[in-house]
Amino acid sequence: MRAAFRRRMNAWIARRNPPVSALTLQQNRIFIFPSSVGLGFGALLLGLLLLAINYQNNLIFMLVFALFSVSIITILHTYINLSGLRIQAGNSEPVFAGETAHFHLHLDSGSRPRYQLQLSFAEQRTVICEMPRAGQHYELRMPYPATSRGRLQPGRLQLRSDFPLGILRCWAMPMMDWHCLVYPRPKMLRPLQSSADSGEGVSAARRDSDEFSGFERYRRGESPRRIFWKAYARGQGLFSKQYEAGSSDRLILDWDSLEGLGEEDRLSNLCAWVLECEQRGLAYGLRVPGMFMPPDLGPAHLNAALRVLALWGGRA
Amino acid sequence: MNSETPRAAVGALLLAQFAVIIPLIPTLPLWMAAVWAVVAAWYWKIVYAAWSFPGALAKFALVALSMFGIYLQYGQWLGLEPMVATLVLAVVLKLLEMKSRRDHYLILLLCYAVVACRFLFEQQIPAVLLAIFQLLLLLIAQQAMYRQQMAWRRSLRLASLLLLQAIPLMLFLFMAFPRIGPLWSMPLPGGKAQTGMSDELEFGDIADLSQSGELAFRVSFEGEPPAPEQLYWRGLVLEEFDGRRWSRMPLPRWERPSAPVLGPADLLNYTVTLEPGVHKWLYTLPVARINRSDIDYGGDYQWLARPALTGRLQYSVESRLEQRRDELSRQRLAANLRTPGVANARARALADRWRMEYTSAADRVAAALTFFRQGQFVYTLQPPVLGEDNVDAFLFESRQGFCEHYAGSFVFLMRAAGVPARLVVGYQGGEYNRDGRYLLVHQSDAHAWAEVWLDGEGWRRVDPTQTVAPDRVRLGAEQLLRGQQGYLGQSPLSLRHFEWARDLRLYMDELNYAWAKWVLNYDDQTQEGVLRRLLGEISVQRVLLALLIFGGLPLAVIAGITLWPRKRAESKELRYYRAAERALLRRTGLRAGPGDTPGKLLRKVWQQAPEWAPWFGEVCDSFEVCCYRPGGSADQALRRLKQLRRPYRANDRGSERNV
Repeated sequence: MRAAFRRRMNAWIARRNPPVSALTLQQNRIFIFPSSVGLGFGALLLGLLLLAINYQNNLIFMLVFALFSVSIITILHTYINLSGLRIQAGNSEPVFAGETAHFHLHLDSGSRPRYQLQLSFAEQRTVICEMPRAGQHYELRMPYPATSRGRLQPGRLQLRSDFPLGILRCWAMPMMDWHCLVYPRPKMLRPLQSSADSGEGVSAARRDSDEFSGFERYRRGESPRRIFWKAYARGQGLFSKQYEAGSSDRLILDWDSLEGLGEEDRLSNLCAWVLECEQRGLAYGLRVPGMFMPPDLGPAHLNAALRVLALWGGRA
Repeated sequence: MNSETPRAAVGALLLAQFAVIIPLIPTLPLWMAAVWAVVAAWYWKIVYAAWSFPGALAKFALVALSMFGIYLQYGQWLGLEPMVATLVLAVVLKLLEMKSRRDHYLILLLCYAVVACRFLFEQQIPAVLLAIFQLLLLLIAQQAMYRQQMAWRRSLRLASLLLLQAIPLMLFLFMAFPRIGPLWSMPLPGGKAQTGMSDELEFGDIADLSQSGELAFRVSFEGEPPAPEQLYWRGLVLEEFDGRRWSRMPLPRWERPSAPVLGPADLLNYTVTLEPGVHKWLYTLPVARINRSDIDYGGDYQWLARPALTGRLQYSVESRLEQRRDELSRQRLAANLRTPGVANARARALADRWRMEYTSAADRVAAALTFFRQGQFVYTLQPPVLGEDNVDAFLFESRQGFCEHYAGSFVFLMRAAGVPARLVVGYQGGEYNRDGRYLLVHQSDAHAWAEVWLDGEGWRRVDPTQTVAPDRVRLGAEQLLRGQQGYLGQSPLSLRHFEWARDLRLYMDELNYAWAKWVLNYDDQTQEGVLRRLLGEISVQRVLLALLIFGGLPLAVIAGITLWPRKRAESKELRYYRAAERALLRRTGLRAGPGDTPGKLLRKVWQQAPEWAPWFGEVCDSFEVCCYRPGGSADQALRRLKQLRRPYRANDRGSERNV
């Protein structure tokens, strides 16, 4: 019953709030309800009303009515605190599964100051933001745990404000058009072997004893191990030693080499290998079912590889 | 302490708590202030992490000790004062448990209840002003929980705004909310001794009462008030005499007297407002009628409330002063001749002599008055204490007394002389507030007089005090007695003989009277009148409509004002730039076409009015800095732009370019 109600409620809210990347809060998105403090306040007023009736005390009547009217007026002030606030979804840095993703949120206070805005994702830590002047801009990082690889959509944003008196809570639940790339959690289940003979796991490996083929100007992203330090010490600039790499000794991180592991474990392992290669400065290629990346090195390559792993299997 | 609750909010809460509790200190045991100070200091230490919260045992001990203290102070827990004291104690001690926002709120909400409780003890205008101040502080403290930094000015502004905006709805609810009677009886404020008449009288009682400058009641007359000599405010008739004390004679159960019927002519209408207290009988000018369901006629031209009414009481009376008072039963007449005991032999002997000498009752009354007139009696507030035969001692020895001495011994003499007589207590005279057109009757106007039964005439009022001291009735007690030592020494009434002080006091009283009449005594009857005048007729639809108008309309107006899509306030830089543009237009006739940027306009100026171009170029530069480079340099540019609003020509003040 309760669950059904909640489902219905959520569906209703979803209908009212399609995902958007930016919005201005208006009356169609703001809901106001008494908070628990407000219920306490109401109970207090009721008690005072009884006191006034039983003592026939007009001043207590007056006080009760004044406080009641204040709570009515507060509806307006609570509403004003949210109304006209501009929200814009920012981007978010990719994370590995198991870490916490941070979604950037841009708030623009518009023509009014905003107090004590409590922002959170459902059941997540609340971030409090205050913009005591009109026309202020604020950027928030909203945490959300990234539990599994793929595209992470944090769901509805909860924006709540109890200002000024706390007896009413005013909230909006905009669905922001937001996603964050979550890479697989790196797990080194099989060792990365850099020997071509040892076969397992790595279809081909390049040995460091490969034939030296000359120097080239150092490119960013290349392993510092290749830097020809002697030339640098002589003040000739950064050069890196180049080795002749035959097609046979290119490092291909292969899905098929990880037999006996489940899909996610394979992806985790590949992810760990990718990171390992990147760290050790080994150019690597990647082969997963339906996808092949030729060997390369550098941040762009790394990002592309991780992206492939994150989204493999049509993970949205 | 909870990291969520800003520290400033705790400070604001403590301040609000202080403001709420301190005014109650006269009502509460004094040691509670000490408890508050200790607890608040303790909590402050906790906030600054120097101390920790007290353990359960310490808290329990503190609560038990304080509750015991309250019990010691009042001897009970169910009275009003101990209950309020307990509430305040809860507000104070909860501090030692304040860990979450929830606790914080609990204390705040209870503070509102404390504000309300003060109205149980104090209802004058200053109490309301104080309450407004307290409310503002509480609203600020409540807001403080929602502000990262304490902003006193902003919070105060918002709190005042909330209260101001609440006024229309509050006033309407106050007017229209149905006033029903108490649902169950509540303990009454006690403690402070009630001043006023009691239903027993002994020599010296009224003299004591006369020392009080407190107000007893106010009367507003429709039309001119009667002469002072006629203002005998009848309260109670005392017929039972035990030889020393006078008291009321209880009415037999089966006897329910019917209220007197007033003749058609010469009716005097007035409204009496009694000061707060417990009221068992009401003061009128006989013969009078009070038309109110909760007030009964008690016989002998007395009006009684049963059960006793509390608080301020207001009732309207119609009186006919000329009407004969001939209500009588044989039984009562006999009772009015009783002088039990054997004491006061000399007085009895004197009365016997009059009985022999004069056949008619009227002559015996005259003889007694002559006795008082010629006996060199002294009217004084400080009569000597009289012994066993108090009438004899007064009549033949001390001869110094107050009204109850004269009236009491007169009644005794008359009864002994065979004339039915009784004692009446109430107030005589009063002070007329000419501006406000109402009469103030103070406790110092308390008076006792006599009534004798004369065949063919009925009850006649006889005031022996008047015989001894005619000015008492003509000028009032205060005029006569103010020279006497100790008379109203402490009260503001003692300033009466300064004209300005009197005016000021009467003006203040006028304000208080209006307050009492329109606010404190606003009850179902007044309500009906007001609503009828306001709505034409009282019906559900009309009341709802009025609620909509009074409650909804202001709300809508406020909403409209605050939510109306404001024309986005023009920024300063834009304003200055526009001023510069206008200046340019006045001097050169050049204006920006639709869609022209400042740069384009500047090019136009270079072509057509080059002498203005350096100035306008600088305007454009500063304006762009303001728009596109927020930060420190923009402020500088803004100041420059402000100077540049007033243009200069290149050839006469060109040097400015280099500044």
